[in-house]
Amino acid sequence: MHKYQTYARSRTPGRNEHHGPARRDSSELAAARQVAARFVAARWPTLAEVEPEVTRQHDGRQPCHDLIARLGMAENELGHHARSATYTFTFTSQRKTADGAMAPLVAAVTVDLQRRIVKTSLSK
Amino acid sequence: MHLALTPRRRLRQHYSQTYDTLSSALDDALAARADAGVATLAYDPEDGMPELGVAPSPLTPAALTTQLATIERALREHNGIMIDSLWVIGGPETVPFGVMPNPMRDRDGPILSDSAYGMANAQDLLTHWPVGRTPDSGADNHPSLTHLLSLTAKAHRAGPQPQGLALGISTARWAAVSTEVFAAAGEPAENVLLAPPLRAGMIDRQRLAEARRIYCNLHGVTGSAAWYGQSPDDSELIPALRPADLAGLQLDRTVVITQACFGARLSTTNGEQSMAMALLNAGATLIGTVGISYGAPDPPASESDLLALQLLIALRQPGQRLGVAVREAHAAVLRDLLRRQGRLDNDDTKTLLEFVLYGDPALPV
Repeated sequence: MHKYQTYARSRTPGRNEHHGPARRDSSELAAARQVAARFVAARWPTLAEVEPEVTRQHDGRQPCHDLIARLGMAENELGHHARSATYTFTFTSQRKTADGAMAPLVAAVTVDLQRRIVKTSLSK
Repeated sequence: MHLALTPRRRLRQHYSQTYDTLSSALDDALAARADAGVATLAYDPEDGMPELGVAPSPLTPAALTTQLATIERALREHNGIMIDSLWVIGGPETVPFGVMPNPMRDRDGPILSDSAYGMANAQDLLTHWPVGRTPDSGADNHPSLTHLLSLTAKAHRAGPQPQGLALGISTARWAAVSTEVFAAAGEPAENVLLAPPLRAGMIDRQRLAEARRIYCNLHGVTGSAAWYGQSPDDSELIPALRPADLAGLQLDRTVVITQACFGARLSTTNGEQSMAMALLNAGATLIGTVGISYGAPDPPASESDLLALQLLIALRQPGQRLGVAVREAHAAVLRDLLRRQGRLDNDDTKTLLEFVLYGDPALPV
């Protein structure tokens, strides 16, 4: 598994340019990653040494207008996305069953910029 | 109008000496549909629909999806007819699953699902029409598809059945989520069996036979056909349900909702048929995933837990068709997520695209 990647940068900053946004992204990501890693290690030791894949979700996937219409919803029924941008850390491994089969073990932990865990999904 | 994708040319190639028997079973199933008032337009993609100006298509996911879009447009523009459902005959070796990008970074590969044949995608997660498939496990299991088509014909002729009981089977680790789902669906929590103490070979077969809806919140694995339970302390996974546990059972008209990873896998493992095939051969229909599925380890329910909840509700609606119930469940999950979150996360997206229906979508629930 390759090391985590950031997706926030649109270009590499030049020598004399302000480095603020990129550096902030890196520190935000590192802090979020630490929260996720601790959470996962405490619950699923198998995943403690796993490097997670990282996805930055600004606001999740926006539904198309046709879908909203076919659901019989109005645009103003959509929930307000109060939470800030988040990072989802996906830790992937396997674990052996009692009889020697292999079960996927995937934990996807979403952390916001306030370092709160907003969602945890686990493979079945 | 209900469509039936009947790849007779390819089925003849795969089934060769037993094709005539298979073809008779397919004709009988289509006749039973017609007798039940299900107006069906059966077509072989490799022939196209010349009467509608639809060209032949190879049996590849992209070509089949394109052809379906053409069929939909032709039916709508020429005849003012809408597609009510799509029934796919044959396993993935005959008619491949649709292939969609996997938004989760879980090494699971692309999403393999029939949702693509209902025109669903990551931007438009609700199928435009229900899709169901009557499969087989591969070319080495010839009797299965013929048998399943015969069961389908029998089910259409029997008509709607009384609603009946629901049974839940869950890992002990996920007991809180499973009982939350069952309770929210209006089902009694005492009908959820926990594994452990349940282990493979121990299930009360009478309870299985009596259930009209079976909800399985168990682990799925590679290297074994079983579905697995897990202790509350998150320790090892232990077989909870094996195909052999179903031997001789008749599960006609039972709908199985499985959240297990690979729960809709059709291929054999170490010579043992899959749980999905064992359930189908016993007469059940099944809703599950070919790949990795997701949910919550603890309440509140999420992803496939939410879909299972809505399926349990939708499958109780009298007079409903199976495919419509499945689609309604998806719609209910989408409405709930969009009202709460306004957007959809990657795991929500994967969940809504990856579940497949094994069964005739036009069957009454």
